[in-house]
Amino acid sequence: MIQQDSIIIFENVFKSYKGEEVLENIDFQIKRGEFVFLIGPSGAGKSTIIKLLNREESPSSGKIFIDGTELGTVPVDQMHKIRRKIGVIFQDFRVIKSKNVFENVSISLEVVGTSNDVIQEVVPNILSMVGLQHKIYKNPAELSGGEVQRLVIARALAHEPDIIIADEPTGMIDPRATSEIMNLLTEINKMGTTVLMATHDHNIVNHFKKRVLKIQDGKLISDRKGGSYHD
Amino acid sequence: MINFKSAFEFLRKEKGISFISVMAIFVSFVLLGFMLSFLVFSNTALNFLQKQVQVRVFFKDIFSEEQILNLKSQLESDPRIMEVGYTSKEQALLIFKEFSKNDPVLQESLSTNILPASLEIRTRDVKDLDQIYEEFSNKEEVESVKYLKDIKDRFSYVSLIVTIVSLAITTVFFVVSFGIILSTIRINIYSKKEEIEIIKLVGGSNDFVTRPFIEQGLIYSMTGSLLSGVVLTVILSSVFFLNVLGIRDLGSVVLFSNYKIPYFIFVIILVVIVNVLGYLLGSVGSRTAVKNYLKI
Repeated sequence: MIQQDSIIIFENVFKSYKGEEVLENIDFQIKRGEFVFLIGPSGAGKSTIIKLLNREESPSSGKIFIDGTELGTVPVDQMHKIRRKIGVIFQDFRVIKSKNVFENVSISLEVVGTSNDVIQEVVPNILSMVGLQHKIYKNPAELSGGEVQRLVIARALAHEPDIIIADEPTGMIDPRATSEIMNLLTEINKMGTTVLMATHDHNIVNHFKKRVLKIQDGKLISDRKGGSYHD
Repeated sequence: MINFKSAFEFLRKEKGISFISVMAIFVSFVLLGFMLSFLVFSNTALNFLQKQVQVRVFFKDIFSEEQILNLKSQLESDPRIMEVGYTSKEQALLIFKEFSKNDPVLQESLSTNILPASLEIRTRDVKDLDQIYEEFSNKEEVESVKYLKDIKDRFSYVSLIVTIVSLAITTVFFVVSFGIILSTIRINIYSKKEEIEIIKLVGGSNDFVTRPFIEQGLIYSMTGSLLSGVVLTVILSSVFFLNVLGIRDLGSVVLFSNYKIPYFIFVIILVVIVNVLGYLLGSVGSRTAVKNYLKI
C-alpha cells in the first residue's frame, strides 16, 4: 500500500538489458527524512536502482514515484524538474574537467536559476562544509580522490535537494575521509533531507544502524530497520 | 536570464575557429551591403536617365516656325505629354557655338540655315515615347527624330546583370557563413558532450543546455554584421564626401520606383538591415545546429 509520506516509491519494478533481467519485482517505499542504506555485492543492481531514480534509465515495467510524481509520466524535456529535487553523488564522480571546483559546484545552482550574488555566497560555504575551501579555484585534476568525492558531495548539496542519492560515496577514500563524509550525510539527514546510500562497506552499515535494503541478483531480499550488513 | 559567459569561454579558447567564422560573416555582410548599395545607386541612375529621355524632332526648313509652334500647342494638350520644349534655328546655332567655342574655323562657317529647329518632347510615362517616336518618324515635314532609348535599355540590362551576379556571390557567401556557424557549433557540442550530460543529470533544462550554443552563433553573426556595418558606413560616407557618382550633388537616392530618401537615411537603413540579417543568420544557424547535433 502506498503511504502518503513516501518520497521514493518503487512499485513492482523490472529492468532488463538485452533480455537479461537485472532487476526483478523491486518494491519498496522510502519516507521523507529517512536514511536508508542500499546494500548488496557488486553487480547486484544497486547502481541500476540509482540510475532509474535519476531517470538515466527507464524501467522495463513497473512504476517509480519521486515526491508523488510517476517518472514514466514526465516528458523528457520536463525531467529536469524532478532531477532538481535530487542531489546525486555519482560513483564515477562525473565532475566537469574543464571547470574549477567553484564552477563545478555552482552549476547545480545555475541550473535552478540562482542569482550570481547568492552563488557567490553559497558555494564557498558549501565548500567549507566539505573542507574544500582552500581548493576553490583548483581544477578537478589537481585534487586527490577524496577531495573529488567531497567536491561531488558539495555539488549534490548546493541546491538543497529533498533527496540525496549517494552511489558508493566512500568507495575510493581512506577511513578518515569516510568518517567525515558519513558525518556530513548524517547531519544533512538530520536537517530533513532524505538519504539513500548505496554501499558494500559493511562497517558503515553496521555502525550507523539505519534501515537497510538488501539487493542480491536483482531481487530485494530483505528490508530491515536498524539492520546490519549481514542480517 | 541571458548569460553569454559560456559562449565567450568557447570564443576565448577557440580563437582560430571564432576568427574565421566572424570574418566569413563579415565578408558576406559587406558584400550584401555593396550589392544593396549598387541596387539603390543604379535605381537612382535609372530614375535620372528616365527623366532625361526624350524624343527630339528636327523639322525641315519648309515647316515654318509658326507651324512648329502650332504643333507644340497641340502636343501640350495631349494627355500623354508632360512637357514640350522648342528650340529655334537661332537658339540651336547659339548652343552649337557654345559647344564649339574652341574651334573658330568651325564657328565662322556656321549660319542659321545649317541647323534645324526642333521640339523636345517628354512624356508622363516613358513607355509612351516609343509611340511618339513612331508618329513623327513617318511625317513629311520631319527631317529626323532622335530618341536615346538604347542608352536607357542598355543601362537597365547591364545593371540587371551586375545585380544577378552580386546576388549570386552574396548567396554563396551566406551559405558558406551558415555552414561555418553550423560546423563551429557542432565542434563545440562534441567537445562538451560529457559536460552537457552532467549538466542534464544535475537538473539542467533543455533551454539551459542549448542556450550557450545559440548565444555562440549569435555572437559570431552579430560581431560579423556589426563590423560590416562600421565598414559600410565608412565607405558609403566616403562615397558621399568625395562626391563619387555625383552622390553629394544629388543628396538623395531613389528606392523602389520613385521613392526618394536622403542619402544618410539610406546608409542608416542599410546598416540596420545588415544587423537584423546578422541576428537572423546567427539565430537560425545556431538553432539549426543545436537541433541537428545536440540530442537531448
